[in-house]
Amino acid sequence: MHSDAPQVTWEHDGPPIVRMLGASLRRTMADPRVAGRMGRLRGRVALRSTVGPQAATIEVERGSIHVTGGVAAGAGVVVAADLDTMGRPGAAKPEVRGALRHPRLALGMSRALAGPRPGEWPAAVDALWDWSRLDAARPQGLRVVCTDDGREHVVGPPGAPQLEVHGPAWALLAVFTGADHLGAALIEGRVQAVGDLPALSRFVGVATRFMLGEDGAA
Amino acid sequence: MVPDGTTMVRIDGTTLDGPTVGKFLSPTRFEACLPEGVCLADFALAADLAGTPQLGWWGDWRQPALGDMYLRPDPSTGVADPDASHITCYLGSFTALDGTPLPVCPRSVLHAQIERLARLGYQARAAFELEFFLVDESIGRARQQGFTGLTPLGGPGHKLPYVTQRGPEFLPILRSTAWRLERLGIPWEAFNEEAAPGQFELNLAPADPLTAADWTVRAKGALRAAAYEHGRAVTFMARPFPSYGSGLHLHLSLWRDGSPCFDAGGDALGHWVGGSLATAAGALSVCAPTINSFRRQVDFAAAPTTPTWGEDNRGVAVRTISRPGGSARVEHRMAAADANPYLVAAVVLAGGLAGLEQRIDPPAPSTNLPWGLPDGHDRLPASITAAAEALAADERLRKGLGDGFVDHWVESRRWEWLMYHSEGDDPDPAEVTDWERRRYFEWV
Repeated sequence: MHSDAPQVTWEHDGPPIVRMLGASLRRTMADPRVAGRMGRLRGRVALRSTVGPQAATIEVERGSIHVTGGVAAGAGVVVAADLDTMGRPGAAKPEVRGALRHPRLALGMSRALAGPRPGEWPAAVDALWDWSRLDAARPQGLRVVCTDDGREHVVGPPGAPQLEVHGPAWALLAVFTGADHLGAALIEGRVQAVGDLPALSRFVGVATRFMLGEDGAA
Repeated sequence: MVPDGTTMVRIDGTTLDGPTVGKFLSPTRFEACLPEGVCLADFALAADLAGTPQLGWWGDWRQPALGDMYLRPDPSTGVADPDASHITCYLGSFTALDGTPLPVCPRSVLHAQIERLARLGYQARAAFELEFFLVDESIGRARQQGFTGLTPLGGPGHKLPYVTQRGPEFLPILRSTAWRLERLGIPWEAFNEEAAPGQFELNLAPADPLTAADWTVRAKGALRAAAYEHGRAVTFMARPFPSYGSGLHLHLSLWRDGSPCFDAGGDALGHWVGGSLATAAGALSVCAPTINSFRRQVDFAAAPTTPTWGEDNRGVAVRTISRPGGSARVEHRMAAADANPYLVAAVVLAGGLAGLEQRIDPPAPSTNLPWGLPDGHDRLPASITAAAEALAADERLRKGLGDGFVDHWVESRRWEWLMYHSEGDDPDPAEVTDWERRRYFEWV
């Protein structure tokens, strides 16, 4: 983490969207360029679902970022998006209100929330794997296979990995960056898995804790 | 074991969330499966109320690939189904294939607390007060409506608690329920209208805690059958409507060598209360198991919101009722109607046992109304996740209920929270959501 990076906190006992946004921003602040840019911003940006009541507000106050539930009064920029399909192929582009009046805030936040590109899913796998190094629920090795191009990425000790996760790049990116719940993605068919059920279920727990920004050591 | 005239046997157990699950067997098959019982996939105890497999953790009690567990019938619970006398019904407990009780079997978790109590030389007597709502619509109609737009029996207007003058509107259902309870051998003591439109209460007689919980599970079935018979529906949701919520209060007395321990003299009552309050935050997770439970868990809604006790104080978590001799008891008021009766009794016993074993003194009693208090007063957890965290951190309850149960329960409550916010509403709206009604109305 960049030493001058803004401190990211979120509402105690907040709903998942708050924790997911907070966790994502906290990880993003590891990038000194993004952290430096965010450290100079001030204002409130709200993210609102167009298909449900989910909403959260990110308050940036030069050096600190705090995420709360709902659309806060005075949010200068409001982003409305289909949170169920965001990041998937063909998903509708988010609508942004207030960007003209608060261009720096809108641009800075959009970069902070943009996340990696789909082709960068191996880096996301590495990040989650590293984050969970103290978690006893982490499997003995993981092979991730991109069904778009057959590319494989293996993490863990030498030998046959205990688990495999397969899927298109956009879906792999979503589950390994914490933008999608691995369990839901499995059940709904966005990704597939090979491996024994206990290890898979425990790994869903690891990915869920990562998604919600919890301590890496379970 | 099967009475003459039986053409079918039904074995029921409850999941952690409370629904009864099991199988209907031919008498021959039933006799052949004894004493181990009938096989069910262990998935039955690791799925949520929508039937979705719970992913994210794995208990050691589980088979690696959705394998079998046993539902072992308790022979002492055999009784003819009131609605079909040729069906003999048993309640049972879930075991591993080697016969070991599963750590997540609600009935076994309660049984273990009763055995712990016995090792200290005590026996408990327990009685549940079961609150519920009746609606004008049949269960079929309610399903078609997605459990929305339902009319509480007697109309949606305000009403008085204990009102009796509208008896003709609900007596047919109560009479049918009483008829079934009598055939099930369940001594009931009282029915009354409660404070919210469509809300009623059924008081069952005291018994040992396992029997009291068995009776409550079956009483819920009797109420469902009676409501069905009369074209109505019943729900044990904690707060299906904006009015008062429904509780599952547990009256409990402690005995040693046939003598009551909660009457004047002795330390048992104080330590019991002390242990109950010391574990109240974690116990609330079991007593308020659903998203909807916490809609009841607010001030002035008849549920306790503070870890307090007091003599004949209905606002506190633990109400002591001083009466001469064996009538002296404590009323544990935290549980919502949607809680599993076995687990409510288990967590109450585990808390009280901790008090007895560790000689925990209670705080000063509350003589005031413990609602609407300013900041600075200790409060019970206000959300399903906060209560689960409290249980996860409670070493006393872990010791009593077992790590296997606590770990599974805590994860399952976090799962419930995640499902609500994934499929339902986020953030919490003030009103009960359609998601809650669809998920809980007929299953808790």
